[in-house]
Amino acid sequence: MIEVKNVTHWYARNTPEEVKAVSGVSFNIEPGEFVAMLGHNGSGKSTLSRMLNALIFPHEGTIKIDGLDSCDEANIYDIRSKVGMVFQNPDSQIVCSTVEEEIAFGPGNLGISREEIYKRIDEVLKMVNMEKFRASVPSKLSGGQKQKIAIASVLAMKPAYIILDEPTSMLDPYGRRQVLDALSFLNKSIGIAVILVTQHMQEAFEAGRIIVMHRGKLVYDGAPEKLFSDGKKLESLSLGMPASGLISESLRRKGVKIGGLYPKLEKLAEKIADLYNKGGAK
Amino acid sequence: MIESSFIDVSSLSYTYMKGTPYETKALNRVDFTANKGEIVGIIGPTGCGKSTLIQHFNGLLRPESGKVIVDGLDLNVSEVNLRDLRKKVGLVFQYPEYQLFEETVAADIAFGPRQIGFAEDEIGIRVKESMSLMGLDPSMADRSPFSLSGGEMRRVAIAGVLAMKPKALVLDEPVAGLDPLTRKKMLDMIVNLNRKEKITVILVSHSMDEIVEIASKIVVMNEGMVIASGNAGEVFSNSKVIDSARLLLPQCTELMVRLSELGLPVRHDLYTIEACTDEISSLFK
Amino acid sequence: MNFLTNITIGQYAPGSSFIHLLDPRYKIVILIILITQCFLIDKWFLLIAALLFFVVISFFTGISWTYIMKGLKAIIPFVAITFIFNSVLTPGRPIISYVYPDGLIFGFNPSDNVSSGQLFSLNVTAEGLEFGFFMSLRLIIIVFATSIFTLTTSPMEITDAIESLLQWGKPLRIPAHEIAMMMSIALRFIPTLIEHLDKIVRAQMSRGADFESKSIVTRAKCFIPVLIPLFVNAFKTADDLAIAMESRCYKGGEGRTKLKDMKSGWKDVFALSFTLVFSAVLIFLQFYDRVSK
Repeated sequence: MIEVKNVTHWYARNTPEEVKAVSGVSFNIEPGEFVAMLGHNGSGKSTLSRMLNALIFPHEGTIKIDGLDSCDEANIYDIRSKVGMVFQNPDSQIVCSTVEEEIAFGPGNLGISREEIYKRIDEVLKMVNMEKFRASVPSKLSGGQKQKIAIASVLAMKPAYIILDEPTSMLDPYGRRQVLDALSFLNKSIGIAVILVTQHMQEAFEAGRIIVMHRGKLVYDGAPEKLFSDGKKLESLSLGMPASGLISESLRRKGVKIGGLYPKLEKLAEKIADLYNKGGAK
Repeated sequence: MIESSFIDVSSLSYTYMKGTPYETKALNRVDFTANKGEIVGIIGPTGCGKSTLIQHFNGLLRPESGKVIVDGLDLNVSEVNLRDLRKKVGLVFQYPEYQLFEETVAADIAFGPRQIGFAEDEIGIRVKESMSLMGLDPSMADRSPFSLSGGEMRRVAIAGVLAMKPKALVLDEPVAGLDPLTRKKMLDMIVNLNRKEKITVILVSHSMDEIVEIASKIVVMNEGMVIASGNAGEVFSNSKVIDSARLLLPQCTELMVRLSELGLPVRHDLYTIEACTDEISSLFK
Repeated sequence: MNFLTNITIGQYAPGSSFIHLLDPRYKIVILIILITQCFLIDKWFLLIAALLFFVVISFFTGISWTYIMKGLKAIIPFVAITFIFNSVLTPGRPIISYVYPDGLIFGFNPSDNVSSGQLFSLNVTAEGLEFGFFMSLRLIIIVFATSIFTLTTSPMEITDAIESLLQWGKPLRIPAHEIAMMMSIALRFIPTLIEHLDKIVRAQMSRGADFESKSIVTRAKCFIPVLIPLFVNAFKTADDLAIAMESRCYKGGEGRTKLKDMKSGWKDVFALSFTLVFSAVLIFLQFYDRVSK
């Protein structure tokens, strides 16, 4: 479990330019959860997500990963291998010049045996459906493929949690879909907890739980449906309503009895067809 | 009123690394027209040729075969004055905040107009004007562009192009990576430039929802070709074309397509939430 | 500006050819031997033999000839400059001279005072032409050899090999791993930086920067708007990369597992012996007349 308790972090602390990036934030994440993290540009999401991976440290409060305190230096590498991190820009996070070497980078740093590394390369490439690209040069791949390689490279360290900091913001819809499908497979079939930092409301809507950061504070932690049914709150948090939410809303207003909000269009379409076939029409 | 075209491209082809085994046809007999005062959306997946196409609009690339005419200037003629052309068409690349370099915001915005030879006193006026058009507070003028937030830097970069007073503005993914509120503000500003300043806008994006929101005409590209063009209804009525380009329909159009696949008698050339939900609710009346 | 994306020096082209599979340490040693040898010989037929040697080797890499050539095209300007400078700046018997104010003179002898008002002369000398030719040929050979090396050896392999070769420097506190890692990352980021550069150039051209101007002053002025964003970008990329490496538990060379053992076999010994024999022959022919006298 990831336990975040009362965490505060300043940039340029004790200087005139001091900025409180994260302030008094607390939450827990259970193994196997799929959590989306939302917030305006500069809300403290990135700072917070980097603290979960022991890249930066809380000035106040504590972060524990499966019981390991991130402020204890002895735990750093254990935490970094338990909590994998994927970044926004596919080009600046790939270290090596072939896919195989890239995936071996993390486990190699941990000193894992070569046989085991080769086994893991096979495993993780299969997980992200990229077996064919084992010998490829990453710079020749598409954006979506690069991000999948970045995910695979993190998976090779066998993390229990993966944090992704806006991994789809530089991709086209197809690349975005590739990445999201890979994440949902990892979460559902392999049971890895996913923490997806995103600006894309539809992506967040499909998560099981949403955390919203606003000016360094945690202002919402709960189900997507509840957040997205409060239009005023969304606006005050610089968030938007995902299209599927807007459609559900508008339908309800026009007297179509669809019940709640529908994050996925397929489900909404089924519900409407169901109502129609039951004779609600005519 | 007869619409007059501002950018007119016909049968344009372009090949990268010609004569090598790595030869790739980036554009294949592309036709494209943007009328004066219009907002045209170009949409397509990564590598479909949209950035190659827009680089022809301000002469960064010269037509290899086919014709490009911009505001009456024929770009096939080699003596075209590029300075004139760059006054006509402003091009804003993806993540333009990476092109800032000056010590102050005002100096950076002044770079373009100075390069194309405007008088100093005029440059000062243009800098102020374009800052206000992009919603940048005058007090920012003396700050370093590198001290600003990502969204502000992007607006400074766009202001730097606007200061050249182009008649047409081409924007490549102007809202990529912005949060929903900043994104909405940016799109509003672009619409405003079109309505109030009468600037022809060409918006490149891979998000249908964005383009539908503001464009009056949509051009869909894939693999170097234009595979559909027209108003939103015309383009979306053929969902197979959109699928083949691995693009996503606007969410509400997608819903209508799904409903008709489930056998419901609904139109699926609708693309606004109002129209779609009206259509659905009419089923139940 | 397309030439920017045509640079292939430092790029890796994956494959499984004989050359690809050689032990990278041997490849580095072989490369050093062959480059050194190029500076020892100065007979044109020997230099051409050395060039042909690499042409033959390049066919064994399985990499398309056009791809290799594309990379070499990028150095044409450097070769031209090398040639011109050497042929003009080397003292010796002038073949063609430009004497101010008399103009071009063939076979001019500086000791004849052609014009009493002679202000300066620029001589293309026979020695200069010869030396320029040799230097250009050497430059081509070196770039050619280095491209074959980097095209067939992944930066990670180069890192490991350099690290292993630098082991002897441990007592001298040479940071072998760090040097090697730095080189490998530099190679990995060449394409990324070139892409950034290309983008920035286009963006500034759209803002009226004139890179094609005939005036050198105008062109030089365009460097700042390109270099500053390029550096800002490179620092940001470096920062991102450092964080990404840290997040994947990078902690230096200590205790790292290498993906491939650098095992050398008969192939490597054969390649090295072949190189040694080849170089020995060339060097023997170079000094043969001196030895026989």
